Amino acid sequence: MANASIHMLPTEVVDEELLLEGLRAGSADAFRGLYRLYLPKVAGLCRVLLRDVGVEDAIQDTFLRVFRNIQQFRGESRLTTWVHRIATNVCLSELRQRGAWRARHDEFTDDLGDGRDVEADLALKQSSQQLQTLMDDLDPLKRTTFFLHHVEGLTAAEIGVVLGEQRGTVLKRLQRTREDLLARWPSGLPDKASVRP
Amino acid sequence: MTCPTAELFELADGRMAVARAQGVRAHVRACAACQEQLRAAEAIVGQTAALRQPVDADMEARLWQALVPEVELAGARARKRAAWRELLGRRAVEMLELAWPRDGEHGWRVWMPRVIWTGVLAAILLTVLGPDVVPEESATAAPALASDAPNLAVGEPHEDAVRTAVSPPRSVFPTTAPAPSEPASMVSDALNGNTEVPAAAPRHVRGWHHLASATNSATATPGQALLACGAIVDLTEANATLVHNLSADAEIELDDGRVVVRVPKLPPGGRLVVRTADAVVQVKGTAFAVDKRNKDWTTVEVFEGVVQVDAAGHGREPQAGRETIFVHAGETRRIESVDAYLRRQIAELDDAVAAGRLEVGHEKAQRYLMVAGADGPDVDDVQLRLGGILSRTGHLAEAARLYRTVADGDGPVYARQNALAVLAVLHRDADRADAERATWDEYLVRFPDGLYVREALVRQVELGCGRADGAVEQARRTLASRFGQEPTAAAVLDRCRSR
Repeated sequence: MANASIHMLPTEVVDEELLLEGLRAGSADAFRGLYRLYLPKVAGLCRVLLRDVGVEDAIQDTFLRVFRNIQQFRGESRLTTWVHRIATNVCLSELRQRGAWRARHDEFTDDLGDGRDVEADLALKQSSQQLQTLMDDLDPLKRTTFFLHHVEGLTAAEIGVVLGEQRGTVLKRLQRTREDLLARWPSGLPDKASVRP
Repeated sequence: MTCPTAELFELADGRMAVARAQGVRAHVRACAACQEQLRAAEAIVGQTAALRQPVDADMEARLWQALVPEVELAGARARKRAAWRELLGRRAVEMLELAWPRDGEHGWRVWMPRVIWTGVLAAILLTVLGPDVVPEESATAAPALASDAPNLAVGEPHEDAVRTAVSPPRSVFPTTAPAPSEPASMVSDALNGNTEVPAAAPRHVRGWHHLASATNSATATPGQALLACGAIVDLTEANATLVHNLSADAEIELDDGRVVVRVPKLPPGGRLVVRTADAVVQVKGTAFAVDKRNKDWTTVEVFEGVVQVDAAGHGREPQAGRETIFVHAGETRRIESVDAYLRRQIAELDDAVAAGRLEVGHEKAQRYLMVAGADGPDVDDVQLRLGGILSRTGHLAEAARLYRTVADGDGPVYARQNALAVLAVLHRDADRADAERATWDEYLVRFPDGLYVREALVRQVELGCGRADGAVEQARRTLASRFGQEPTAAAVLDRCRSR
């Protein structure tokens, strides 16, 4: 079954109360179910935020925290929101540490010049991963907000819970993110990228 | 016009309500710019599905294997929690959990519990410590402790401390004891379970039961108390009084039993003192035990660091005349009670004099008089012994002054008699006949029925032999009437008559 994707039940068809009851009782089956249910969501968020570096560690750390603190989950928000909040915290923490390292690293690499291949970048943008490439240039909070809203389907209020922000703040950031993406998106359809100056 | 970006994305995402979507589409049809932006938005939204890539089975299995131990732990925790809920009730457990922020909490859910708990701790501190606050000088006036000194070399072993055992350092508390840096603000003490005593009154702590009954107790394990300075005191076997409980000045009076204390490094000027009837133990940061289960001594055992120990006198203050000792880690010292110490001094004094070691006897007598004080027991006896040593070593004038002091003092009659008689003998040995006669005269006046009346009369007759003196004649008659039958008196009377 290597490289085979896991068939996952959509979140909506899982009875969250039943799952929580099993988790609070310490049922191993319930933990396994939680893991299978939320692994794709957590993995997607971690990939978007961490850009494939340290993703596996972040996923593992997220589920460790979920399992350790599941007894403190009081059901005041959706389980999805709670799990995403933990995953976001783990990834942002990792990014902060990475940023500190990057700041030091850049001091040594500045003199080496910009090694980016402009042509390669352009070709990449023309590929199906164009959105991913554009999102990589966004700051982590914008990436998280856009991902949680447009990929995971969380509302602005739920994203506010995840990020610890007001709904209005989330909406403003979401708007700015959309405008950024539109401004940088090649005019017209993606296959018309060549018209971009 | 400005295209409504949010609406375009919502429209592209398919989330917009049908009626509203129709309105937006109508606008887009009339706006070329919006048409282009809608196409871009649809393209962007169309690629969002690619952001959620499938997880391959290998990764899923690998991650799960790493999580299995945590799952087992989580299961165990859940069962334990269920047991607690069974025991305490669901509400109690939830109340306890409410008191702490959960992982991932933010905003008021994090700081509000902290504010509440800080307030509760501050209230406890103010309630408990408020009445005990003393002027700052009392703390700063504390004598410098051993650990203040850069050089803690121990002096010569002195007689106050009888080394009973030397054992390797051992820890009586877990090394993971509460960090001193943590705010040790809670106090555990109570007066035999009565928390209603006036705040200024000393509060007794006697083992776990009384600690547990105190509302302000803070004990992690039965019999242990946490003081404001962060010291942990094991009171399991103790009957003690907590006199001060400030962060920089704590004082425990141990009446009997044994306390084991671990003191964190205290701030400059800070100290913790344990007093018994025999010893004053001062520390700044160490682990030690004080044992007062024998009426004649207190044992101090040090596990870490250095402890300054003074022998205690009356009022449990450091005793003048007895040296301060420093007990190091691994050492055990026994500090005698004042009474035991004085008894030993007298015994050693007599032994020294009997052995002809008058200097040692002189030192013992001096030490005794210094420790016992003017009102101490048997001071007159020791002064007489010291007078004898002084006279035998040629210090006659000093001996005479000492005898006169005793004779004129408020001591027992026998001591005053002895002092005056010995003073007379001292004058005789110095060939000071007038002084001797005057002293015997005084003796006969002050102690007409004293122990040395016969000797006084004999010496009066001998010194006045051949003289026509009314006082001498009176002495002769008294000697003859009271002691005429005794050979010594009869011989003196015959000798003087014959002259």
